[in-house]
Amino acid sequence: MPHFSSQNISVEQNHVLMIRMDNAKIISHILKAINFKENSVFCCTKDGLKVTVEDMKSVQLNAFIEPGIFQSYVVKEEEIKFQLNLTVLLECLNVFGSSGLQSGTSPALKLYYNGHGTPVSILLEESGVITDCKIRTVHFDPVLDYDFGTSNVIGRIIMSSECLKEVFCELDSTSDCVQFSMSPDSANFRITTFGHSGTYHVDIPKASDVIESLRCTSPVSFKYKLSLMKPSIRPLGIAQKVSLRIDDTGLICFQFMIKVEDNHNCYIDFYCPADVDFEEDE
Amino acid sequence: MKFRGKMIDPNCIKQFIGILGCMTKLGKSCILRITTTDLYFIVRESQTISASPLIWCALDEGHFFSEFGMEGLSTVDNEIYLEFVAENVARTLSALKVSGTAKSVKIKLTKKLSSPCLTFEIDLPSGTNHSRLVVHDIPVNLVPRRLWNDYLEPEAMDPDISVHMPQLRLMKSIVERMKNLANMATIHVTSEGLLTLTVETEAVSVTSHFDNLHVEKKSIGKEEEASVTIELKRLSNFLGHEQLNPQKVVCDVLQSKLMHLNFLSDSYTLQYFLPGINDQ
Repeated sequence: MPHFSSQNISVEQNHVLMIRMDNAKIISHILKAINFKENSVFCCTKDGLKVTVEDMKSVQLNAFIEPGIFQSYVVKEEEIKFQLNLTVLLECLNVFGSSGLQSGTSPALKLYYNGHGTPVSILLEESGVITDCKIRTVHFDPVLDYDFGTSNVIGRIIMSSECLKEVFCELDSTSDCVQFSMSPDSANFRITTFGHSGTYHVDIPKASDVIESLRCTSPVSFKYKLSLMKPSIRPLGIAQKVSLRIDDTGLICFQFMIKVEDNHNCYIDFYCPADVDFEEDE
Repeated sequence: MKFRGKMIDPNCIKQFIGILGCMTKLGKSCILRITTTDLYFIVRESQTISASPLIWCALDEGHFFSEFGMEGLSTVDNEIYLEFVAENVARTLSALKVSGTAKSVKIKLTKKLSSPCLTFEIDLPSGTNHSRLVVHDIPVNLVPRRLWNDYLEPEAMDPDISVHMPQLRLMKSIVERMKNLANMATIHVTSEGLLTLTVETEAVSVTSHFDNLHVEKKSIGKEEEASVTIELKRLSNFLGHEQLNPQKVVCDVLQSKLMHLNFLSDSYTLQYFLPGINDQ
């Protein structure tokens, strides 16, 4: 990088966050799946990068990228938080082309941030061409902190995302809601819709291959607005496995496991509160 | 006036389709100028070069056509100027592309229902020994002699700096992305062979650096660098045709006024004159 070799050391000392990656496509692959809204909040700690996108103070998507995925990850404060336009960031990350994760090209990335009020700087390099971007950061709006203590979880399933994706794609779109039900006595995990042409149940047997595990301490059945569920489709599409947890208030958390490189995974979680206006039926 | 040309070489046909396709995507209407030695495609939105982009393409007829004959307006003005609507050609192009390799393509100036047309006769291979002929008539307007001066060959410009354009595939991708961020970009070239492309908005600034470019020409006595601000959408439209695979692409910059791109090949040249936008 001839033009940036003249950067002196004192400038480097100003970085509170510095990330280096050989293949920027990994980070854009994950972030693209949570880009259902423009604004995103980045939270960087020694445990890794967490990017949150939230809508209407209810549904929330979080992407987690652990330090091991990066070639270099330096965080000089306990917690670094900033807000920026995720759509703009993705345009920059894909500046050399937006072909998939598996395609030939792999632009190298260096990201750094000098703290509150400064822009996030991104340097991308491919085939000798360097693109440098500065994205304005704004003071972040606080995001909901969904705390899923395991003690509140009533139902928990780990299953293949392929199967769940098929079910979701075929859900009756004339239905306002989708209902998830499971119980210790029932043999199935049931997904129900209530559309114009009738009530549809999809029953996935607990014993089937697609369900890795299902644990449920008491019967649980909650409805969720289908429109609020939409942001879960993209991460579901790129994940290999998904876990669902429902707590006693009906808050559902999907956690998607996405394989990025040979032995590395990234996670995206999705929170959605239950639709409580309806009477719960059995 | 008469015109008749026949192409039999599949590579020539493919290249011709590519160029015609490029022209029809860059403007609503296109001028075809036929001389004894060349074919020209000219696309221009308005009369003055300083106001709008100009696309000028010159094809060497000897390379493309195995048979070629033309008779112009008169012996003194032995040229033909036709104007056609880009949309009308689109259908012919898809027929040419979908049909695979045509055995030959004949282009003629004809009169159908007392209107002048550019007729494409495409001879397609078929399963049997019979040939399959597909005929497309594209309505054209004959451009009157008094307007021919509007389509003169642009004067050879004297750029401040001229460089070989860098990796087009990457540049096309960069310009596509930048187009989503802003309307305008600034091109900056130096006599050291550095070309940068920059967009700047309230939310973001993005600069791409292309280094070690071969400097074709640098005007003596002028500055060591030149820059011009252009409309990204237009540059993106033009770069969309980088698959034409030119042998050489040269970028000339005239400080603040013009960015000129020249796609050079053995048998044709394609030039794009992009006017600079003044800062508000």
